Amino acid sequence: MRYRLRAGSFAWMIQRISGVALTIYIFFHLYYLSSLRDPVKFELLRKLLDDPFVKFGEAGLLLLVIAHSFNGIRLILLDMGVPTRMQKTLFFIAALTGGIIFFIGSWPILGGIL
Amino acid sequence: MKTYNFKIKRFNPSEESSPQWQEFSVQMDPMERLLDGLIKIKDNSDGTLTFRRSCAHGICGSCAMKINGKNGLACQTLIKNMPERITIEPLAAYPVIKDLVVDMTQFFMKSEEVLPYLINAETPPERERLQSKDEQQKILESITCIMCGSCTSSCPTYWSDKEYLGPAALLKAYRFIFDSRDRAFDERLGRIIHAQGLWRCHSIYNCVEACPKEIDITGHITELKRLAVKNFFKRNK
Amino acid sequence: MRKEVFEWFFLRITGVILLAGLTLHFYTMHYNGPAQTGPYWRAFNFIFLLSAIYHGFNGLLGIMIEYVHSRALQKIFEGVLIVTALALTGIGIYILSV
Ligand code: FES
Repeated sequence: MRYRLRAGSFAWMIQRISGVALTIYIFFHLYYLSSLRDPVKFELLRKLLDDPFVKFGEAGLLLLVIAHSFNGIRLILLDMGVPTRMQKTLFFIAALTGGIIFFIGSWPILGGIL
Repeated sequence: MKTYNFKIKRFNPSEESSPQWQEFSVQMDPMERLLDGLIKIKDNSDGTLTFRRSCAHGICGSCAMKINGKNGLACQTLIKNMPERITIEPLAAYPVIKDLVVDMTQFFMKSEEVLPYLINAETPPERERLQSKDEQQKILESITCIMCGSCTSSCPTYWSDKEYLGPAALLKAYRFIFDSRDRAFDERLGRIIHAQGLWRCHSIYNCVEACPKEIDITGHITELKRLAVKNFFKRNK
Repeated sequence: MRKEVFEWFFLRITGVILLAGLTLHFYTMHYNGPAQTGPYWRAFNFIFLLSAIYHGFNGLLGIMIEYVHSRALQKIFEGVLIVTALALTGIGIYILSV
């Protein structure tokens, strides 16, 4: 559908895509953890986590979580009665603080390889 | 006088299989509106160009269309605020009848679903059912709606889910739910809290940006959501 | 119909729980926080797991009904999603009981 993309619709798209991705991630995360009891498998998966690509994946995961949470907070605030005229401002505040927290948070993950 | 390029999406479903773009250049005075441009095209270049219009003063809601990728009224769009190239399409998500005229049956059916009329069995007073100033203020903004269909057609949920009531119908529900003269609160709430009602609104704000009457539609829908939740906990106590 | 009201509200509640939980989860995992033992951690992990699965799958259900239009298909997808969610909850509880 060709329609002008605005802050609100952009936020919605991000929320939807990150939400689906994160739910799929729960699946893999639990699968990974369920091999805790099998030492051979666990060792294999733990080695995989040292791979720089997986590290980037982890940073990407953090980005998804932050995007989804910060826009989630924005949506809850709007649902609680913050007026509509604030929605774009809230979007930019969420993007800014989210970005800063992403940089702080991804340091322990990427610090070793960058 | 300045020349504007109108790029119009034309489609006659009974004769063609797919829409076609056609361009017109039109001489426009800065004081004119987009609708004047369309009328000029119809009068001077191509009489088959089809669009709806009636009041030409932003009151009847006939001339809603997608202008440069955003829904609005042609008669309320001043040409001096427009770039030289103007793209005009019919409203999205409604079936096209011809060119810029869309079939709004679905849209009106949605309003029908929320009972768009006063329900009050009490005998009316001799003159009229009075409201206080505050009671009127509460619904004043939602009364401004002219049912042009811009909002529902701009809603991404409605694009993919035609069963969704859509912003216009929910706004109509608000208008009667918060009307102090109405007595069908439970019935009305029941008609909007199902899966294809309030909860399909994801606060995208396309409707607010599209509304030519500048109604804060999402704000009204959000208030209805809060009302539904409050009502839920009150009943379960 | 009343169900939908509650679901919408609970999606927001679990969202807040998840935000708090994730912060803690991330902190303990990447900044070498406290070891996750004892009844409080157990309760926290359990609530965290349930919230995550509820939030995720309720979100998916909501998205699904916007793109799947036949009632029958909606029911099938709903069934599949609920079974997956229950299976994941089972796996989660198994992990937590290690
Ligand atoms: S012609 Fe009536 S609203 Fe534009």
